[in-house]
Amino acid sequence: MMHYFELTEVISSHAHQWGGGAFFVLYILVIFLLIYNRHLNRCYKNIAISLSIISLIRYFPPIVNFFALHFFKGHEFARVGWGLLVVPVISIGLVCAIEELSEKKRRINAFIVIVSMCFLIGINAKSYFKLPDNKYKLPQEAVDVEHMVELVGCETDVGLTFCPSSGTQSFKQIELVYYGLKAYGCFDYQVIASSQEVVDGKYEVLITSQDYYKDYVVAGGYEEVGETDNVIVYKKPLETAYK
Amino acid sequence: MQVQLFLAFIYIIIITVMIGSAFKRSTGIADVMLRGFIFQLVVFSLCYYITVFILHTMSLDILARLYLFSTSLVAIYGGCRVIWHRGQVKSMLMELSASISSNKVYAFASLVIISCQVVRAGIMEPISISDNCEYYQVITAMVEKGEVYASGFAAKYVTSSWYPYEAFLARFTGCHGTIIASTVLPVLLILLAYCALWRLGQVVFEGDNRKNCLFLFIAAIVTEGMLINADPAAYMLVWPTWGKNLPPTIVCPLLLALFIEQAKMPQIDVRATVWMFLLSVVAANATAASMLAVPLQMFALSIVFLFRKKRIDLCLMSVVVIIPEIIQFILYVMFSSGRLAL
Repeated sequence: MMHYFELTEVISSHAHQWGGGAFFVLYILVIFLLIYNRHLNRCYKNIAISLSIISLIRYFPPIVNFFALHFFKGHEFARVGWGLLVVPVISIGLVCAIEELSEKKRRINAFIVIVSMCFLIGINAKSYFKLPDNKYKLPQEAVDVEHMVELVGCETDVGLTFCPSSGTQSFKQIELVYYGLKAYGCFDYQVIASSQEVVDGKYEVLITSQDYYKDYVVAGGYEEVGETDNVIVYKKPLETAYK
Repeated sequence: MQVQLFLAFIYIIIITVMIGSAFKRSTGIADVMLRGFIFQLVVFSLCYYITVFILHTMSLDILARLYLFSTSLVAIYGGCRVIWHRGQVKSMLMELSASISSNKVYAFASLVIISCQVVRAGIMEPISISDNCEYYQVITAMVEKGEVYASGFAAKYVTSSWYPYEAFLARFTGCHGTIIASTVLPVLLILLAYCALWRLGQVVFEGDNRKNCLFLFIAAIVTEGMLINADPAAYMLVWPTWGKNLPPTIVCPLLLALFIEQAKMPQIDVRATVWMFLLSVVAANATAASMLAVPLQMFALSIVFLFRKKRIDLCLMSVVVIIPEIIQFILYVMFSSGRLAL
């Protein structure tokens, strides 16, 4: 059985879910609005009660995690359903509320439209979207590195090495390049942890972050192919690489 | 590439409409699009299971041929029905026009917001890449190698035919896998999500188009507002092609709509039950997360009606509907424990 301290750890680890508390409270309020709305068919009260059950399970992560951790081995079971029915339920409830208000005040519709538009403008959705760097919507660095690697040789001739960096941001960038290359279609490359493991191909391609030891790399016989803002691409004929 | 992109859009939308038109009971354009899309995914899922589990081959080309053979016949029949019953198309367009006229302010406002969301999803990209690269890599590997899950078969993918579907679209249309996943499909999926909400609104508001237009408007605002909290409900706008977004945005609202229709009738309708089952198949094959999402929804809905209205038939219907999730669960556990090898 989960002890008290484990429960608090689970709750705190899911604090990000409670960060949606405003919409959660709205969700519950709307369900009660549906239950007590006199305009809706009585059938919907049962639907509203059902949605209350879903919301309790959906928004109470310790329950879900308790079952996931103790009865199932794998986090897929804990994924109840992203945003399960939150938008439709809130929307239905707000429509019922607006209809109630519309009976008493004639200009409520115009008011709602204006408030909604102000809300939309205030959201600043720009902070979530940006124009893509390329048609693939991948990090441009990954696409640039791919073109550099193509200059070295064809896919089967190259063994790819990624060098980790000390800085978290640089590692993040190099990770994006790594995954971006795989997303672009470079999975045929051998991706290895160190040059000692290169066994096939004609060239080794080394990708390091900008703050990696450049002199050390050049001294090891690598030749620079090109660089981007965050990474440098080197090559070395494989017969001179460590085996 | 622009030509291929244009052809990809045309193929996906037209084939969805043609297949949806094959069903006689389609009521409205939203219904046609939804039925067409659901049927495509169900057929693709069946072909996926036949290819991987029965034929024991990972060839994407064999899967594609099975799927194209199955759907082309239905699509041709649907296309012929559209031409033969031109009056039905006209009445659907007139119904759409009547819906907009019933509440012009909210109808146009919601169309504007939805259009902006759709265009934004097609043109722009999310600032946070998150798991996109992983899923793009899975799709690209399948396209390049011509094999299902060529980059590796994780347990959560074993029952999911969603990414092979995206890979099939990329291979068939000639577009790069990332373009299908980040540009073409987001447009279709956001439109279908609002079609699902429109369908739900038709049931909840009992055909009152005025309230339905208001509902769609509010839903568009609320979905956009969810971005503030980075709530999963807003992921439909940010990462719509993730498999885990398909059930909550399209399947679950439709299941709720069909359940409400069934609950209002004294006896359950077999056809509606079949559609609910097909929806459940789509959810099960979109993501492993639906193992809990769909049974939870059906359990919560049916248990309340069992105790308050003594509706045992709805409970039995719910058990039938969650059969795909039960099979999904069994396959997931078998694969995770090593009892199933592919």
